[in-house]
Amino acid sequence: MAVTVQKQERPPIWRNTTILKWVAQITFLFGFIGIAVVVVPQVQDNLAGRDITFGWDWLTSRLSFLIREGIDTDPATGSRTMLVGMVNTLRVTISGVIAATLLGTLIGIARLSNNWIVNKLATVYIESIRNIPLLLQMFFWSAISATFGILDPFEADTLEAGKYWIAATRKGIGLSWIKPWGGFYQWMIFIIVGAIGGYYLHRHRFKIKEETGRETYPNLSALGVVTVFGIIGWFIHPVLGFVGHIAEFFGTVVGAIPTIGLQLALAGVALFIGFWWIKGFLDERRTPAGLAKLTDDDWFRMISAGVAAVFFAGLFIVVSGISSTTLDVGEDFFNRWLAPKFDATTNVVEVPIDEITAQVAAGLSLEDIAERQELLVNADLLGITAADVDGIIDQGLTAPQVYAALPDEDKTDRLVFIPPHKLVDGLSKAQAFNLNVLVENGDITIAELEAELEKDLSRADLPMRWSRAEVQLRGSNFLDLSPTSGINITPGFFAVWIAVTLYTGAFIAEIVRAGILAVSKGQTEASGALGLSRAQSLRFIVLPQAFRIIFPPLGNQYLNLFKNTSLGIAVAYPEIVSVGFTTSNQTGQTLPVILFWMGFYLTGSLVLSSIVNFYNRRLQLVER
Amino acid sequence: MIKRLGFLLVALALVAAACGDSSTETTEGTTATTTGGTDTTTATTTPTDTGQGGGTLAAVKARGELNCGVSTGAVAFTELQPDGSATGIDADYCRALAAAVLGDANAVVFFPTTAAERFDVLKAGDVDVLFRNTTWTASRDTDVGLDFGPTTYFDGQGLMGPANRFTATSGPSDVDGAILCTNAGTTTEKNIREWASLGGASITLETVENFSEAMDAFIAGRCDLVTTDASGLVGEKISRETSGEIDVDSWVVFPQAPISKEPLGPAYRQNDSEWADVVDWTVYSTFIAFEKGVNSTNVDAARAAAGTDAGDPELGRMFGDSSPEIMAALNLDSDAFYNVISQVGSYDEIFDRNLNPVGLFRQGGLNDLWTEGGLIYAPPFR
Ligand SMILES: N[C@@H](CCC(=O)N[C@@H](CS)C(=O)NCC(=O)O)C(=O)O
Repeated sequence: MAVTVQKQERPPIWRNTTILKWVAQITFLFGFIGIAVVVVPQVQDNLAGRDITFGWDWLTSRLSFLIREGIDTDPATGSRTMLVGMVNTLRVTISGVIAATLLGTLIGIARLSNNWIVNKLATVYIESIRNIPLLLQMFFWSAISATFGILDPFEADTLEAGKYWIAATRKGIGLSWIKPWGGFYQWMIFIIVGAIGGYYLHRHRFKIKEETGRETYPNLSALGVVTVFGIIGWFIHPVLGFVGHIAEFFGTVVGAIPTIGLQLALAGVALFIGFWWIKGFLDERRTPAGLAKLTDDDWFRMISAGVAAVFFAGLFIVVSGISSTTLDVGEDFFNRWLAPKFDATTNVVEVPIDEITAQVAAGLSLEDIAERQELLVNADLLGITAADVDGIIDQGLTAPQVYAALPDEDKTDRLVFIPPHKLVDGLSKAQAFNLNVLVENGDITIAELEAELEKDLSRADLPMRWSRAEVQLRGSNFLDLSPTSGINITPGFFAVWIAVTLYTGAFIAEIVRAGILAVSKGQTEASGALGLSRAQSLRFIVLPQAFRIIFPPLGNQYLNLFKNTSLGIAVAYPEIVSVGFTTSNQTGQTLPVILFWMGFYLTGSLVLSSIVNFYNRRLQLVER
Repeated sequence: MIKRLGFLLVALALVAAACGDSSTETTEGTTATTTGGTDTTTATTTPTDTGQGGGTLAAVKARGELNCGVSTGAVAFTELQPDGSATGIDADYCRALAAAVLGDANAVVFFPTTAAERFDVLKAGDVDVLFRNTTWTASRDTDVGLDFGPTTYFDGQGLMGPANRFTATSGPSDVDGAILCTNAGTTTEKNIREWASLGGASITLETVENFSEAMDAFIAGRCDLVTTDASGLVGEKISRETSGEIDVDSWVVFPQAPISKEPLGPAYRQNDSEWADVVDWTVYSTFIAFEKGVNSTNVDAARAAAGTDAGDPELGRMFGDSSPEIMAALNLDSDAFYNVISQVGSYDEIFDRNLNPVGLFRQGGLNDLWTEGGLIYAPPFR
């Protein structure tokens, strides 16, 4: 028998997988570039034909509208405007998620209750809330808030000025609240250190418990450590004032870095990461016998990684704005945000006490002196001379009124002056700064501040204070909630928050109920047979299993809640969609604003769902 | 991989098709324009894309109806009726335009728009023109991508608050610390911010979607004041006083000199001069009729008189009798402006009919004829 050894023939080109793969990859790449090159100008053309211009200039240009609430009610640029909207969306989303989860869990358990009334009430709640459109519910709560207490000093049956536990008014709801005060951030350092210590103690004790079976109370001891640190820190936190100087130092260092330095550093990092990845990739394929044969796919990956690294390196070099913005933000973070939180700040000017005594002797009131100094220390910025200051005071203008005329970017640069009597009274810089911010914002007058100081001096550097809601006369006799007491909820926030909470809560309740029911009865019975108490069986057997079932759909509900807040525009809540509408109306940039919205919701959803997925994976049974 | 490639090809094909579509649309639009330009009666081509640079006039004629963007409700400017029609000075100008273009003042479809969405609605081609208390501003004329016609109402922004704490002479210092309500997407928002900050007043602005919501919020006490164009404030005040909802003069509109200039008039898509001419001259025809004392009741007589040797030559030209070539150049029927005056009326007629009942009068103000010291002035029709 003749064996013919046939030489393996190369397959024809159209069936050669190697070639096909390369062709496909290259076509894909060029197709992608092609889309960019052909479609983008085409789209721009078509848009131009419809007078729809497309650009991003509005992000840096001045818009002109006030926003009802948020981190900045008079944002200077388009991007800041959108930022205010985004933060508002996140604010209502996060508080809604927390409240809806608590409510949903309670109602879900109530649905399983043996108590007839509890059970039926929960059912009625779920069925009615789920079946009414969310928008209607928002309108409903908005209408409800229009029945609260009236705030009008000239009308009878209105809420009077004063402090309240809860002040439900038509202009908003004031709640009493624990607020950070003078020493808060210093105190937080103690808490964080305590928490880290507690974590390690917990780990250590838990290990002993597992190994020996001896009860070591890991949770309790961890809590104890945090508490001890908290208590000690409450009294001695002022010793940490130097942290502010460290922050300032970092700010100075960051400010001194030239833009080109960061550009090069970032580019270097990008190249390094690419190189490092490729090296790691090759190492993985290295066996004792040498480098394994690389497949086409391996080459694609390495080439892509290399191209991406070079791309980003180039991007950092070419777009210097990335580096300069990062540096600016970094400097601001340390100097303007972090440093003032501690007992040090560059924006504060101390005035020698002799100077003040002399002025008092000359018959000036403390209030006038304070106004004078405030203007004097900022004379350069305001472009005035010391002589002008007297004229300004004579006209009866206050410092905040003078600042109002400053361009926005200068406002943050103005120096904060600490009325010397506060220093005399032994206030620390941080305390004085805190109080002074109130005066600066026009929230209280100097006279009120002094009164506040009289009674609050002993408490002025507590880390936190209990702050009751307050209705006060503001400006030219308008009754409103005091912005500095308690926390205030606007009618818009109230309507959105309560509506999404109740609505999502109803869905969560059903998910919770289903999750608990899905744990088979055998589990409870078996745990009973093992001698576990009812509570133990719920805690160790049923809930952990139920939670695994509940978690994924819960994540979906959170996503829904996030997106549902976009209805806020209907009840005057300035979330991202609402401020975006006004922005696009003022600038004519409809499409960029829509892209901005899409980018925001997409990013938000992806972040939320990756958090959910992360926990979900940790919760899953480890299967082997 | 092959699968992915397939996907890509399909996607590319779709994109390519999409591009092709839009370019044909462009050509269609232009053809229709020329058709409309040469022969108005045969302009019954397929509905054209009004979103493109030109061709609105042809599109309106082809459609047989005018799509007019109005507000969701502004007293005496646009008051929507249950049957879909609308009354008010803005609604009447929609009607006048329909009378000029289509010969029928009732061939109008009213599209209520909120302030924030109006320009998008216009630019997307959903409406042909906006008569919607729209202020002519530089940025809207340029950045936002609109063009504006002659101002039909010279307005200015005001504030309205309870009479027990404000007077007609109140100023910024009196609103310090107040919450003000208005609607989003307006010049109002911009003006009030500047006015308050210049006057050293710190205010909180609550913006809602429609002005009627701003009124509700004001009445409920959610805000201390409302602000918008003074005409809107006076309209809300007087109509509520007439209906007995509030006591007479329990609210006051201030300050006496408005805080801004708000010339309200028609807005249309940029770079469509054929359509711009039609809208502009429709408005001017009502001004000219006002100047000549012609109105819907005496228009037939006036037209007849203009035809005689001793008649007013400008009226003769405007009614298309003595020089039909101007009307042809406008691509309108020769009696287009006769239709406007006979079916809708002259400026004074439209104004008095809508605005007098809410206490707004032309006499002695900016909205009077130029010969009376006002700003209502039309270029000569010749
Ligand atoms: N003229 C201003 C304001 C226009 C405006 O929105 N006016 C109010 C009141 S006069 C209005 O029309 N509201 C009716 C609505 O909200 O639909 C502008 O063009 O921005």
